[in-house]
Amino acid sequence: MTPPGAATNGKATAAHTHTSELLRFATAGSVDDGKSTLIGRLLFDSKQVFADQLAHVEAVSERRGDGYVNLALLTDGLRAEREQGITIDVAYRYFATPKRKFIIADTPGHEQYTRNMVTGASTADLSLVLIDARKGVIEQSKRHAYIASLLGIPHLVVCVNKMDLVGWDEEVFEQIVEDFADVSAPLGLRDVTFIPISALLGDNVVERSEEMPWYQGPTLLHHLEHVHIASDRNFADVRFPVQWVIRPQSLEHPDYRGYAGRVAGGVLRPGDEVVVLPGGRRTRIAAIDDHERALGEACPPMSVTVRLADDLDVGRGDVLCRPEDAPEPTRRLEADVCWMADAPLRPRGRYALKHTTRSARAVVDAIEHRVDVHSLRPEPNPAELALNDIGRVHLGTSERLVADPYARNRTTGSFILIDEATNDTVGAGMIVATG
Amino acid sequence: MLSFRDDFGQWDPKAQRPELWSLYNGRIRQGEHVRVFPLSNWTELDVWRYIAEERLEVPTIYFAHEREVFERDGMLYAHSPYVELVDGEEPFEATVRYRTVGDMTCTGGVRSRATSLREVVAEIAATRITERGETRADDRVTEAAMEDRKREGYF
Repeated sequence: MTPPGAATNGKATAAHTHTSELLRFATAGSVDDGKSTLIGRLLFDSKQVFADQLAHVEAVSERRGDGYVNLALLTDGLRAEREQGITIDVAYRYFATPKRKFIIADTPGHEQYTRNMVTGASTADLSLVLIDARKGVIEQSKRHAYIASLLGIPHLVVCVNKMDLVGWDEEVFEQIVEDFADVSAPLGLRDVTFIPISALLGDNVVERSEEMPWYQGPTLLHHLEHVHIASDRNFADVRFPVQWVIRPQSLEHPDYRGYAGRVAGGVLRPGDEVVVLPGGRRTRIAAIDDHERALGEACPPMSVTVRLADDLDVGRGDVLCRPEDAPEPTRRLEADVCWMADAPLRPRGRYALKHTTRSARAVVDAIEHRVDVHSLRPEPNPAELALNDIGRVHLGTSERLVADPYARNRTTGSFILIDEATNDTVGAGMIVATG
Repeated sequence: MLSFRDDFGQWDPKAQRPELWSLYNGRIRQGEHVRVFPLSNWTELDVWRYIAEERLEVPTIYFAHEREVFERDGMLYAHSPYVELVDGEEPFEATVRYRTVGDMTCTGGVRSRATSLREVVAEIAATRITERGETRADDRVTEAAMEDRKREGYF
């Protein structure tokens, strides 16, 4: 048994196996499309709701005069959220079935919460988009699909909700499938699954619907339990950002010198040749350790300690790569940035930048375009990026970074920008090109 | 996972820093501090399975033991000099354990026969009542008691 987020090092010998136990998925939806009800239904029907929680929801439903047990109340965690009747920030919910553990990153869907959606999407394996069957594909559905593609979420599920309100009509569903394909195809979304549901009544959420015999696909929970995520990470290009140098210099381990970190790409094995970037010195992997023993290999997202054959000057922020597919260290980044602060991003703006385990300073050379969140079309040469804007930015950095395009690697392709005066995280960056 | 506190230890739920990918921003100014909750997504069952798997030592109060208790609002509290009994409340012996360890005046024990890690895991796996609902009296006061205490810097 492996608790979520626990050090899974070495527990699994075969590559990939331990990543498939946990599925993180992001949901975004507007106030009325039934998102909270859907999550409440998932929790309730998969028996994740405790007796006292249900009693509480029943009592509150009655006090509010809802007229039914309002499962949406199960998901409304924080007080500010309850008082406003909307979802704020990113709310993380946890549930498990015998097949998998799940972490839901739940965000509001309105454009003023773009930064929250981007935050929730950054760690998601799967994005769940809700469409009201009566309204069809609306601007917001397109924006959610766009964010899923921008953040490189490998799998998308479109739940066509409120099928009970359109007479369980197959044609309504098929029309939405067709309309959505026009949106998702240009975005390059590879894996899109459509499921007709009624969150309120529970159809096709956990239990199969008896009202829609024409739908032969999986229920939502079945899909979440079985979607193949083990090969989503990059297992091709070796990337090992060093987090910490372990040098106990103790009597027991007088000469131990290891580099601890989390594998960001590829498979590392003892004996492999590696290049330490950005410096460029080459050596071989002498051994790979976890907290109790030596390992034959390490792959993403394992946390391990690597020992090298030669005594090189290696520190936090350096990245071990395989020479054949190592990136050229760079001080120039072209990236899509989602802006998260009230004070806008402007050309010549200076920020602290955090990329893998390295911190540097960055200056904005130019803003190439800003994406209109309504039409999703780029507008060239904007004066600034305001709160919740997404745009293409060119940056110069104070240090050489060992970076990849985000589409190639979500770990070595991402960075955050920090306001040096307030220390707030103000931008999320996805690298498009380096150099 | 990271929670920022001002000079007074207060938490502002509206000013939570976004946590993107695994890129944590732990920068603070003088006087501020950050609290890290690496296990915040573990359930009670996760915690006990981990304790059992690693055979960690835990205080005996987490296992079933004989204790003099009294019943109030459906919960069993330890009989102690710090709590005054009101009419109708009578102390009695019961076999209980604690699912959470807190102030004895407002933390209830639960009836239990679990004396080993294996039995505790089995008991929690089968329970239909949350740890907060079963043992935390202060959480019953308002719907958001935990949130209020976090804002005040309680944890």
